[in-house]
Amino acid sequence: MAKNKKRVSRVLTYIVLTLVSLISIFPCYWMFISAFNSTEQIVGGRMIPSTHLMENLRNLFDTYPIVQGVLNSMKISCITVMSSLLIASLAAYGFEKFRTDHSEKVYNVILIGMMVPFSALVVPLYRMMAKSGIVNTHAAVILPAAGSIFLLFFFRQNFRTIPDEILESARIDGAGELRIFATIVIPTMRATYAAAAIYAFMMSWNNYMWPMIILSSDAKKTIIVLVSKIVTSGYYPDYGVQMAGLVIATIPIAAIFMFLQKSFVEGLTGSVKG
Amino acid sequence: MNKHVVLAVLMSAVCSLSAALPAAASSSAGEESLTVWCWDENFNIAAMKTAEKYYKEAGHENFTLNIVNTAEEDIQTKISTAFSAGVTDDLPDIILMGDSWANMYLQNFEGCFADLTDQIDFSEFAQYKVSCFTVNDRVYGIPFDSGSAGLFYRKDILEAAGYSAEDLENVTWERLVEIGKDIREKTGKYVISFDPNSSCSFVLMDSVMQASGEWFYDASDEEQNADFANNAVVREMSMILKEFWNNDLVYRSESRDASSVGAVQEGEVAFVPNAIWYAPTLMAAKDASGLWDYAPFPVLEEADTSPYTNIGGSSWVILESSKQKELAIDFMKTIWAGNTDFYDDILLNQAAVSTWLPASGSDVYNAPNEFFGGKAIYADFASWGEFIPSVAYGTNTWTVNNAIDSNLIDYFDDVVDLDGLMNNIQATYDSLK
Amino acid sequence: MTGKKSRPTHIRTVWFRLSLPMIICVASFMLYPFVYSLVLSFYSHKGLASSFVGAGNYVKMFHDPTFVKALGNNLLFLAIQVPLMLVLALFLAYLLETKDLKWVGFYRTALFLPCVTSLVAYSLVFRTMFQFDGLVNRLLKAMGFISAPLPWFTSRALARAVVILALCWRWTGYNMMYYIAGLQNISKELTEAAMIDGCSRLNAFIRIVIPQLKPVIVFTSVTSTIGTLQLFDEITMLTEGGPGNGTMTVSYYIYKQSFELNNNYGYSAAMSWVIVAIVALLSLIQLRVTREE
Repeated sequence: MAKNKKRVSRVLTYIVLTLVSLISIFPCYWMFISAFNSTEQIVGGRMIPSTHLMENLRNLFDTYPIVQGVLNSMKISCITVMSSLLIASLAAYGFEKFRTDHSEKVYNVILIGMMVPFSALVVPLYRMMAKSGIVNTHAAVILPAAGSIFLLFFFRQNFRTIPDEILESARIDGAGELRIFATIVIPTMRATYAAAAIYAFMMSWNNYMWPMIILSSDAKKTIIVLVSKIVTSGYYPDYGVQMAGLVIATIPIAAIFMFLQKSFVEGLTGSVKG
Repeated sequence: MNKHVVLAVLMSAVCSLSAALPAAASSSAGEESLTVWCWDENFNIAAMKTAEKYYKEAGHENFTLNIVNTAEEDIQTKISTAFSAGVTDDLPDIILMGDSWANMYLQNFEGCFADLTDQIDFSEFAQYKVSCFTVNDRVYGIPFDSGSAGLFYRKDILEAAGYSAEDLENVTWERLVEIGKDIREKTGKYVISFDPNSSCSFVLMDSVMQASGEWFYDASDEEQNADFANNAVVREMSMILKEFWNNDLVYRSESRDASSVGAVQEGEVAFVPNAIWYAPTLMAAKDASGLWDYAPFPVLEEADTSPYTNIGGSSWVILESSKQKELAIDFMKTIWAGNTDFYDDILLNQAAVSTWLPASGSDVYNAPNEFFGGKAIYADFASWGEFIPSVAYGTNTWTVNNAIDSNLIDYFDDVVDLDGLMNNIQATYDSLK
Repeated sequence: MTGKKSRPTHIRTVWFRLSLPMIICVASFMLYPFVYSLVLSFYSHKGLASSFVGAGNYVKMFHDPTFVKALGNNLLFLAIQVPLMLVLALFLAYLLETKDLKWVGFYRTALFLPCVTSLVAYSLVFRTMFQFDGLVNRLLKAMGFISAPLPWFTSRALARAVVILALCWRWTGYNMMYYIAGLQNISKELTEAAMIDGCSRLNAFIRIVIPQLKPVIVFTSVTSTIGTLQLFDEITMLTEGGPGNGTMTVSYYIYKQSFELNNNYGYSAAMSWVIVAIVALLSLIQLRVTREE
C-alpha cells in the first residue's frame, strides 16, 4: 500500500512539474512560433508556425543592422562578464579572507549601492561619461557594469567554503596572493565562476535603459535596444518582424544557459551555505 | 577539453572579433551630411528619406541624411539627459518633436534649439502648428504632419443600426452616445476604442479642449495654474466618456496594442475620432475599402466647442548645437518649406498630410480616394485644418494629461463623483507641475 | 583562522589592495553619482532652470498623491508577490529534488527560461496574451469561467494581478535555482530517518529541511525585496503605471519626473534617497528577524 501511495505521489510530481514547465515555456514558445507568422496571424492568436519566417527575417535584416547589433551585444557582454567577474571575485577574496574592521565597514558601504534605483543615477552618470568624452561608445556601457555589487556579494558568500588551510600552505610555499588567487581560488571555484558568468551575461545582455540612453548611433546599439525599437516605432507595429528579432536576441543567451545549466546549480550551491 | 575553458576561449574570440570589426563608416570630409532622429519607419522616416532625395536633386549631389530610428520617449530621455549634462556633441542636427510636448522642452531647455523665426516664412504654415513651436514670439520648429481631426466611421455599421450619414452632420458627443447605444444593441459592435489610462486624455480631452479655443491653463501665466472645478469642457467630456464606458460601448484595449488597431481594422468598432494621420492605418485593411467614411469632429452640447481641432502631429526642430546649422536650415527651407513635388510624393506614398499651405492646392490633394467612398479626404481634412483654433500649449500639457488619465477610472467606477474627480485631477496636477 | 590582531600591517592591507578595482568602480559609478544626487535633491528643477528649495522636495513628496500611491503599490507588490514567488520556488525545488527523478535538466531549463528572456520580449508577449481579445481571455471564455472578456489592463486590480503574474513567471525559476542548490547542501540522512519514523515527506520537509534552508531563504527574500522596491522594467513595458496609477511604482515615477514631465531631477533625486532608506531599513529588519543566533 505504501508503495502504491508512493507511486501516486510520483505521478503527481511529474504532472505538476510538466504543467508548470509548460506554462513557463509557453510565452517563449509563442514568441518563437510567432517569428514564423504574419502580424495578422499573431494578433489573431495563431498558435502554430506558418510560412512567413523568411519574409520576416528579410524585413528585419533589411531594416535594422541586426548582425552588427548581435556583435555589439556579444562584445559588450563578454567584456563586461570577464571584467566584472575578475574585479568582483578579487575583491570578494580580499573581503572574505583578509577581514579587518575597516574592510567590513567598506564592504557595508558598498552593499548600500545595491539599493540605489538606477533611474536616479542617469543624469550624473551621463555627465561623467560626457566629460570623459565616451558618450556613444561601448566603454560607457561597460564601465558602470564592471563593478557589480551583486557579484561581490555572491562571490563572498561562496568563498567562505574555501578552506583556509589550503591558502595557508600555499603561502608557506611562498606564493603571492595574486598567484594563490590565480592558481588555487579560481580553479577550485570554477562552478561559482560559471554561475556568476551566466548571471552577469544575462544582466548585461538584457540591459536596456542605460545602453538606450548612452548609445545614439545605430552602428553602436545592442541587439536588445535595436529590437525594442520595432515595438515602439509606428502606429502599426509589425509583430512578425518584431518576434523574429526577439528570437534572434534570445537564442544566444538561452544557448549559454543550456550549455552551463549543471555548473550553474553547482555554482549557486556555495552561495547558500550558512 | 573542459567546458569552461571552451567557453572562455569562445568568449575571448568573440571579443577580439567584434573589436576588430570596423564601425559603420562615418561620413568623410567634403560631403554634406546631417543626422536626424525620428520615429516611425513607414511615416516620418520614409518622409525624411524622400526629402533627402529631393534635396539631392536640388543641386546637393553629395548630400546624405543619417536617419536614426529613435522612439518618441527615447528622444525625450536622450536629449534631456544630454542637455542637463551640458554636453551636446553626440546629439543629432535635427529631431522630430511631438506638438504636445514641444513647448515644454523648448522652454525647459531654452537656448538648446535653433531660432528659425527669420529663416523661414511661417505664414505659409497652418498657424495652430506654428503656435506649438513658438516661445516668446520666436519660432523653433518647422511644422510637419497635420493633426487635423475628424470622426471616422463605418458606414455599414451605422446603417445596420438604422442611421445614415446625415445623422452625423454637426453631431454632438451626447447624441453620439445615444447613437452608440443603438449600435451596440442592434449590431453587437463596439462604438469607440479608448484606454482611460493612457492616451485617452491626449486623444479625447486635449482635442475637445483645443476645439473650445482655450487651454487648460493660461500658458502666458508663469504658474500655469489650472482650475478644473470650473472647466466646463473637462467636466462635460468626463461625463460623456463615463457614459461610453459604463454602457459597455468601449472596446477596452491598451491604446499601444495591436488589438485596438486590429479591432478597428476588422470592423469591430464603429467610430474612430482621430486625426488624418490615422487614415493610413485604416487603409491598411484593404478589404474594408468603401466601408469607411468620415464626418467633422463632434462638438459638445453645453460647452462651446468647434468641430475643428488637432490631435497629435509632430514637427522638425534644429538643434542650436548642430555643427551644420546652416546646412540643416537650408535643407529644411528648400524642401520642407518650398517643394510642392516633395509634398505630393509623401502624400502619395506615406499618406502624410502636411501643414504647409501651398502644398494643399495640388491635384494629388484633391484626388478622390476610393477607400473613403471617392471623397477627397486630404483636401477635406486640410481645409478643416485652416479653422483649427490656435492655442498656446505651455509647458504642462503632458502634466494635465497625466493628471486626467490617472484619475478618470475612479470616476467611471463611481469611487468619486464629478466634483471629486475634478478635485483629484486638480491635486494631481498641482503636485506634478 | 589566525587572530587578526596578530597580523603584520602588510597583511592587514591586503583586502584593500585586492578590492581596489572594485572600490574604484563602485565609488565612481555608484557612490559618487549617488552623493551628487543628494545635492540635487535640495533643488527643484524645470529642465535647465533650478532653484534651491532646501528640504522642500522631501516635504512635498508626502503631499504628492502620485508618490503616496506609488509607494503603496510598491509595498503591496512586496507583500503579495515576494511570498507567493518564494513559496512557489521552494515547492518546485522540493519537487525537483525527488529521488531518481527523470528529465531534471529539462525541467530546470524550462523553469529558468523566463529569466533569460529579455524584458522587451516577455513584456510584449504578456501584453499580447492579456489584451482584450487576447489568448488568456479566449481561453477563460472557452473553459466557461467568464462570459465577457476581462479588461486586464484597464482595471486596477487586474492590472496589478498581471504585474504580479509576470513577476512570478519571470523570477520564480531564478529563485528556485538557489533553493535547489541549498537543498543539495543538506544531508538527506536526517530527513530519511524522520520518514522511517513515520513522518510524511512533506512534514519532514517543513520541520527539518526548511529550518536548514534559512540562509537561502534570507538571501532570496532580501534580493527579491530589493528587486520589488526598485520595480521599474515590468511597469514601463507592461502597464506604464496605469490604469489610474494602479501599478505606478516609485522607480517608475522617478523616471517620469526626470524625463517625461518637467525634468525635475531634484525631486527625482529626493525620491530615490527615500527609496534607498526604505530598502535599507527593510533589508536590515529581514536580516535581524532571521538571525536568531
